[in-house]
Amino acid sequence: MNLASIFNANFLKAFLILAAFLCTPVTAKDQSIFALRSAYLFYFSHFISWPEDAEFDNNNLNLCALTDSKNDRFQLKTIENKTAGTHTLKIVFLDDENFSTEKRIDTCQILYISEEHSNWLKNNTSRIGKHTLLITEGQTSSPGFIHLYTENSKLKFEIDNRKLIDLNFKASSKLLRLSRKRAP
Amino acid sequence: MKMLFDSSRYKLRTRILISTLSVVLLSALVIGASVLWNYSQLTRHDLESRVAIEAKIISGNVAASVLFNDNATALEILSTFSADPAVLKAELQTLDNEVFAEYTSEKLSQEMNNAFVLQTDILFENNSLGTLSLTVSRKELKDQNISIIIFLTIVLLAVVFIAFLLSTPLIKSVLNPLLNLHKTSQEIAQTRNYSLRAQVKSTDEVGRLSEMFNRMVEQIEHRDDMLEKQVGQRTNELEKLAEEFRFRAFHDSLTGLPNRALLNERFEHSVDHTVGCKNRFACLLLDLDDFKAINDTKGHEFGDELLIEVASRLKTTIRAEDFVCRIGGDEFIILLNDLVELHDVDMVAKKILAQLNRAFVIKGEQVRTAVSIGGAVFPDHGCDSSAIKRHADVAMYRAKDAGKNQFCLFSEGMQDDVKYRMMILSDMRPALDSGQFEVYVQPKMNPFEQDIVGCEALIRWNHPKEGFLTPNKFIPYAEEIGLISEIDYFVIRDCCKKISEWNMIFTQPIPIACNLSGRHFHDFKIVDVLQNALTEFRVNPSQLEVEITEAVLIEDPKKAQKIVHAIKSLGIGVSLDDFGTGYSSLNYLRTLPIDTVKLDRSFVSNIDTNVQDKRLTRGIVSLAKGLNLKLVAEGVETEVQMQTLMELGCHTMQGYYFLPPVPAAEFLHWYLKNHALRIALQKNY
Repeated sequence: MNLASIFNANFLKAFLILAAFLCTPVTAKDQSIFALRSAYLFYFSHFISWPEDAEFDNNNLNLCALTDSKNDRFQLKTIENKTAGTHTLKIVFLDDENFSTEKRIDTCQILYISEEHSNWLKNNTSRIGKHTLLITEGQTSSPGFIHLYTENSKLKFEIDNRKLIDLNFKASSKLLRLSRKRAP
Repeated sequence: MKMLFDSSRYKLRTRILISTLSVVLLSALVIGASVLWNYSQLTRHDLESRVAIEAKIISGNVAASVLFNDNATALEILSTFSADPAVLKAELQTLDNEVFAEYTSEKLSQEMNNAFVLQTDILFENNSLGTLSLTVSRKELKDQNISIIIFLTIVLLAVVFIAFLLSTPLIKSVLNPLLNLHKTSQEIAQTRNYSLRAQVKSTDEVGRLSEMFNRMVEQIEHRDDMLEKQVGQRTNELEKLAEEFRFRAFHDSLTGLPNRALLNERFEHSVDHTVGCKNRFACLLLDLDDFKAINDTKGHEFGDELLIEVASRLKTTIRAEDFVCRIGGDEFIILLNDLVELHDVDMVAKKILAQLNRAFVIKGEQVRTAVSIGGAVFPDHGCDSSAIKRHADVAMYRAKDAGKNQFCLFSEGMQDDVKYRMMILSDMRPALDSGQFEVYVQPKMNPFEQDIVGCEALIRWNHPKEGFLTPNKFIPYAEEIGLISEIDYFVIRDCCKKISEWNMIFTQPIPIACNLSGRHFHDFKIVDVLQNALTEFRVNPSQLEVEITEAVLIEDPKKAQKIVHAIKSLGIGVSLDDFGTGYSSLNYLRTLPIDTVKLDRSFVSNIDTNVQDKRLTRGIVSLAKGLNLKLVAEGVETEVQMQTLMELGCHTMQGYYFLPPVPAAEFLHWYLKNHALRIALQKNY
């Protein structure tokens, strides 16, 4: 069994979890926002192309998350090692004790900042590399390139495509079509 | 279809046109159906492919909506199917069969019944997120099929029309030569003008057919010409033949005179003419006298030549309005028309007699003949042709009976003669069978010695009604019906019987001579009869004599001579009867083995008064002595005749002076009375 098959198996497992989640006999309002958010973070990797000069250590796509929610953390862990295109998704929690935040931010291809850490983002914006896709959530004064929010109990997102273009990211039109355009 | 090819129902042009158009139509229909089917398949495939592609595109686009649970966007994406009117409904179902988004066309309810469903998976990274079900209307296919059907129909009609336009001149080009051929054949059939020819405008099958037709007509024309010539030739031949047959049917082949058939026709014509003109016509029946004897002695060829000459003279003797024909043998009939008086007939008859009494020169030989003519006049002697002919016949026999070479006009009493003749002819055979014939004998005397040297047997007929009949009353009829041979055989046997009996009675042999008809001398049967009679009655042949006339040399003189020699070889004596009256009596003396000549009674009857007869008799007596022949003078009836003959040296005589012909019993009595006693006395002294 090679890595690809293992990844596919894991991806399938995660997808089945998602499907199971989606198939639960509850309404959209009752959906687990956490699981959905994790799925969104994972899916974004499929619809976003990183700049050509972006580096991926060991071909890993590091999804760095700064969240306090146990549910979030749990759900993010479920998508670890999933294949995102040619890369393997790695979940990195920035507040992990064994993790040096300063060092880790440079290696994050995706940086998810939950609402409760919006201040941290405000203070560390300059530290975020130009090849890191910043995803924020909730009420914040400095939303990321992609910002997740809840509307009518549904998780939605908006994309600042101008910024993405400026930083040589390319967002899929499909993704853009699903997103709400952020006002400049 | 069967009706279409029924040749009696449609014309050839119609059948070819219908066939051609049917083939074109059928082909077009097949092609059209194939195109339609193929187009329908392609259209369906295109629709399915198109919708499948659309579904694939939409499913690819809508996957993100499913991933990000954005059913509004999904619905928006599905709504793009509105651009394709074929898509009636697009339904996006998640894996748990929940409808995530659904697009419905306004036409769904209308076209739901004519639709099919196409499903495709919504994939993301090769994983199915759900199913996109498309309900696709077939109305597009139907509309397109209708369009193509309309198009194909138009094309088909155009093709048929073009085929019609093209086939019409084509059929015309094929049929015109055939119609021309038909027209020519019809004209030939109606007019029988075989000089007509069909036009040959091509070298194809029709052209060759026309050529063959022309050749056939030419042969028929040639054959007709030949047949016409042959028919003409044969018609001429048949006409000639018919003319010849007609001539033969109405004319005698020997003399060229009209025959009995034409006589009947002319007879009726004469009757009608005479009735109309209220005058008379006469029917003369001519029969040549003794023609049979001429025929017998000179031969048939000679007789035929004589008949031809007689016919020629008759033709030149009568008038143009008269009619002469030969009705057979030596009989002729002359119709004398437009007579006023009965004695006119007599005048013409005498003229005919005079003409025919003149000598004829046949084969360089002069010959004389005579004719007996019987005449009957219409309406004096009969009111129809049958009666006139019958009465002319009666008159002719009367002329014969009256001595021949004369004319006799019919009178009422002559009917009896005919009845007598018919009676004799019918009674003769029964008479022979029933023994009514009797042999009389008349002695031949030697007056010098008053001795009997022999007898002549003479037949008599004791007729039950007519009484005693002498030979001249029936022998000619016996000759006529061929019974003379039987009568002669009877006489021969009776003579032999008498000789046998007399030999037992008389002391001297008395030979008996019997007369033989000339009819015996065509074969040797008479020799056998004589031989058998001699044998049966054991008679010495020298006691039997036969008396023959020149008539023995009838048909075949050489054969007759042989027969006479055969008789002579039996030992029988041969006498030549009626010597001196025949045409070549002296010739018989040279060619036949004659023992005795019998001087005809015509020499004897006037021998005492006629110097010429006396001189001739003397010559004959001298001739007989010179030839060592016995001479018997017949018809001696007076003593003067006897004395004269004795003076002339004739030693044997026969006649009524000595004894008329008498029955054998009477002769026996006469012999015994006058000679037996004298002979007995001579022997005693």
